[in-house]
Amino acid sequence: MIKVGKPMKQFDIHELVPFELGQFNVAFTNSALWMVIGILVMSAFIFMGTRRASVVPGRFQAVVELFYEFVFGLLHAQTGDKGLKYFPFVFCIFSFVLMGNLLGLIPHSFTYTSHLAVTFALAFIVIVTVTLIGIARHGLHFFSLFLPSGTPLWMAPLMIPLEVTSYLMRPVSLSLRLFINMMVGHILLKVFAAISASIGIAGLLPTLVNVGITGLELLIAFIQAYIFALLTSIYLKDSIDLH
Amino acid sequence: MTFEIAKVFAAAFSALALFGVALSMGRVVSSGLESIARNPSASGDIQKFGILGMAFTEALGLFVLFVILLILFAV
Repeated sequence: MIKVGKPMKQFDIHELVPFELGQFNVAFTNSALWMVIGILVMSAFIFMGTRRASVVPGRFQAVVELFYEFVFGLLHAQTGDKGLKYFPFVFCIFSFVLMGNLLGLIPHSFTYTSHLAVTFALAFIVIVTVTLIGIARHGLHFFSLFLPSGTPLWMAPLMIPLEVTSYLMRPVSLSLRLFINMMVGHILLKVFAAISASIGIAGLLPTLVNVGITGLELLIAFIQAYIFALLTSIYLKDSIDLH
Repeated sequence: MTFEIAKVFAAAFSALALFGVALSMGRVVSSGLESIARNPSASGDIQKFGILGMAFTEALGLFVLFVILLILFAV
């Protein structure tokens, strides 16, 4: 008998420290716990690497610098020098998402990026920040973003609703992409592991395949964080340079 | 036809959208391979964009899965 197990159970949120503020439940959950762990791990990684910073980096410092330059190159390729002011923002977003995706691969851990509430909050922060930056830099001229230059004027009634809709859909697609990728990956891992565990000794080969799938998930965890940061910097470029 | 059966049918037929996703994913790979064959020295960049394009296309397929899960469990 093949058992699929309960693949959705890993996404349950438990209250670790119950706490109510008025009528709102603001308990410290396992999701929040893993966010704290993610931030601590990331901070430790960077602080330990740069503690004895030298001009010629040691091994650990070289890894941290590689990571830093990766995000730096990602932003610089999109926005050029004008966008470097917002580098800390993109770096924070990237490392938070990356930590969520990577820590989720540890068995019995919790993937906080596999909840739409978390990813949508992140995407919402991105889109609000980008819009505010655009308005602060260009004033009302920012709204020319919705009519690409060179468009014939008679196309405007068609183009403007289209561009506004696509602008408003950005946070939705940004958050859904990350959330769905993480959720589906973990369901796949769980179902496959449950199946290969339930067929006994014949499950030895499927278990090896499961190892491969875990490797694929590692790749996806990284690529999704990369895409999140890449789209963030593309949106930043849009509101810095307009069209 | 009861509502439950209709839901299962709707979920099953939403999977038809994967036809388009599969086609587009094949296009990403085939055009990537073709351009590497034409200009092998650019293979590093092409590989990078290929993986990126694959990830974007794959996300479309996963959106379908999301819709299917919504139909099955949330409607």
